[in-house]
Amino acid sequence: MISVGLLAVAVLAVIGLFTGAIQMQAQSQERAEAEAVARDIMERIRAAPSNVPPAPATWIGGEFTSTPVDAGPPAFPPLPYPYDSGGYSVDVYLENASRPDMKLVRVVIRWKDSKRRLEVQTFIRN
Amino acid sequence: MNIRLRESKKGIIALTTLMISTVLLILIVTLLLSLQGDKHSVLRQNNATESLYVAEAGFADAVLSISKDNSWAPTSPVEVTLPNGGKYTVVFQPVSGSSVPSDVSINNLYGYSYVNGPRGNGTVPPRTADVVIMVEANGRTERFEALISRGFSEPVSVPLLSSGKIVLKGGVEVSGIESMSSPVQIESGIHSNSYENATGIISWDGEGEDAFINGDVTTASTYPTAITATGGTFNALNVDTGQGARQFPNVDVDLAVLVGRHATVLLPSGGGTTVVSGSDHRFNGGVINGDLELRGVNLFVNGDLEVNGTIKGSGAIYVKGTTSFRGNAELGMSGTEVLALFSKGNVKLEGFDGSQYLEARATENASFATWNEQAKWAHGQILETISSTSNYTSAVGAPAAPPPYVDETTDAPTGTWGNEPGNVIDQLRIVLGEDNPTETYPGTDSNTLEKMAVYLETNYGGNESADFLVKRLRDIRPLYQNKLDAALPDATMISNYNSSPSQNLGLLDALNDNYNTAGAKRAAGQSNIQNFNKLGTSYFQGVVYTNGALYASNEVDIVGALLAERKGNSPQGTWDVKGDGSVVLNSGDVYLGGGSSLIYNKELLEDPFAGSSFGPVVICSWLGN
Repeated sequence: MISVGLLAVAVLAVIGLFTGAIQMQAQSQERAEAEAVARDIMERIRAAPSNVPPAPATWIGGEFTSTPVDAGPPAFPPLPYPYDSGGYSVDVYLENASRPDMKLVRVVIRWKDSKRRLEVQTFIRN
Repeated sequence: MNIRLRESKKGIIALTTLMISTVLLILIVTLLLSLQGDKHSVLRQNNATESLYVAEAGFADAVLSISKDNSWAPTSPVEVTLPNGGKYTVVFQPVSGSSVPSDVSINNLYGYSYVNGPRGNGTVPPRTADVVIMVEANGRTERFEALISRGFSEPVSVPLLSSGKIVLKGGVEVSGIESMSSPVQIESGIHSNSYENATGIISWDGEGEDAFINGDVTTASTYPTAITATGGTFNALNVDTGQGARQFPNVDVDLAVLVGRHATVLLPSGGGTTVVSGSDHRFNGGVINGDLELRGVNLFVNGDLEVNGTIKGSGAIYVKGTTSFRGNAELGMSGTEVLALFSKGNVKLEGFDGSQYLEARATENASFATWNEQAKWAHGQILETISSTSNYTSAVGAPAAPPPYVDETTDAPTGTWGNEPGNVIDQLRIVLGEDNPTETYPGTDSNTLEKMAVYLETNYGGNESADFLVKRLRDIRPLYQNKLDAALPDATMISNYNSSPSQNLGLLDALNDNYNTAGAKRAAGQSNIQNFNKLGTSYFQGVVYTNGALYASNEVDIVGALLAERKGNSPQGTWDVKGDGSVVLNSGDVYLGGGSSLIYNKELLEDPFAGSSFGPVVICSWLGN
């Protein structure tokens, strides 16, 4: 009986810990992907500063997936915003910066129903 | 006995179960710890990314500030906190002999030598700024460093460089000189960075003429037929594929136009020459009738620029759209005329098809045909004589009077150049530019350049090509005329000529007669650049850089470099240059045809911004943390 009890406890513990490990791994992977998304969209914005409209302005909830950029007319936020569902929502905020002739760009990535988020921000010239 | 055995078995089972459970738990805990490490690693990476973009904000700030004022170097820390956390700091130390802390920046943009910097003594290159941005974010402090320059931190190594195809047509020539003041021939090749597996990345169609490339013709493509040559003899030192990509200068036209948006508004003259001087100017784009001349300033064009004449002088032009202009009838030889044209859109540079025009006039008038042929012949003879230093002498005694008029084969044995008055050089230059029928080379007319000019003026005045050629012939002629003021010292003549190339009246005569070796070479350089086989040739002197395609045709000689770099923000689609589908280019392509040629001026490419003392900058190199 003791053995059965021990085994049951051990199995339960293993299952619990394993589930936690999988969750942790998934979270790390999601966060790494979210960062890649944030970098991608930020680099596209920085690559064409003259396409960035005047601040302040906000774009909420565009979804993102990694797709090659199509040639086409300038648009903002840059392609491939918003695109198909990839599980991440992309918000882009343009704000007036404290430095002259600059604007603040914030890219916020949300996932898991906005329970998780990641943000990068930088200045680009007007 | 049975009971003991049974209990012993139970114990073994319990012990085994415990051991297995322990091992499993250890494995799982190890896995968890490993995954937790991964999670922390991802979080650290997130923080690093956040810090990087805060640093980018700092660099964007620094680049803009230095672009507005190339001497920007605040010695009090500039601290900027971003709204959602993260702060960057930048502070400068004046250039001096003392050592520089690792978190302090140095602005050496106006310097011509290496100075001390945050990476150690003598580490900041001339004409650059070493900028250090300190970032505080997520409880950590990180250091970022980058080198900032006006874009040409590494000199361009070839005068013709493209991201795409290079299309050469007809009798194209590519050569190189050290500088205008020292026109020593150097190698100069052409290169395409295209890795495309396709035929004709670099293509030449001679159309019955020959091509002369005094250097290597190379491409990054490894395709066996990436370089093709047909329709004539293609003369190049080497032809190679798979040679890797070469570095373009780093120029941000958008930033330049932004920086220049508060500059003085340019009001075109409406005809003649629009002179841009005194301070930087801006232009919202459009047509400028006549020539555009810069005098040591920048011009920022927020749109397309179409100049119905030429662009000349010294300075830098930044064009946000497309650019089109024509070559100049006159080639500045002082070495101080340095023009840099940066166009985000396509560039069209056309000359006047002067050779065909002159040939047509020669067909209709026998005298004109004679003058044209004798001018080309005399110039060829002068070039042949001055091309070798063995023909030059300064060891002859005082000239005999009257000077003997001899033909080339019986000239003084000590030299035919830098010799006594009346020697073969004098006779040949009389053929070109001096009205002296008795002292001209035996069997030739004198003053042929002016005679052609008068003919064109009399019979075709008002015609665009004729007017261009009249101006060109009269610009060329003074170099071959007699020195008028006998008392004017050589040094003064050279000085006057350096300050204004048009002040070359009698230069060849004086420097030849007076054995002035350096000055004579200078005059020879100007003569050497002139191409009498293409008297209609027009010039552009400087660097042309475009993010679009580049089209140069109709006997235009570019003394400098042509650079076409395709970028993410380059014009999309194709450019039908003539509108009939005969020449279709993509961004990054270069077309050089119609008897055009390229002369690599090494000195000019080493500092293409010498013509404008300040201007926009970019990050040319990240130096790490």
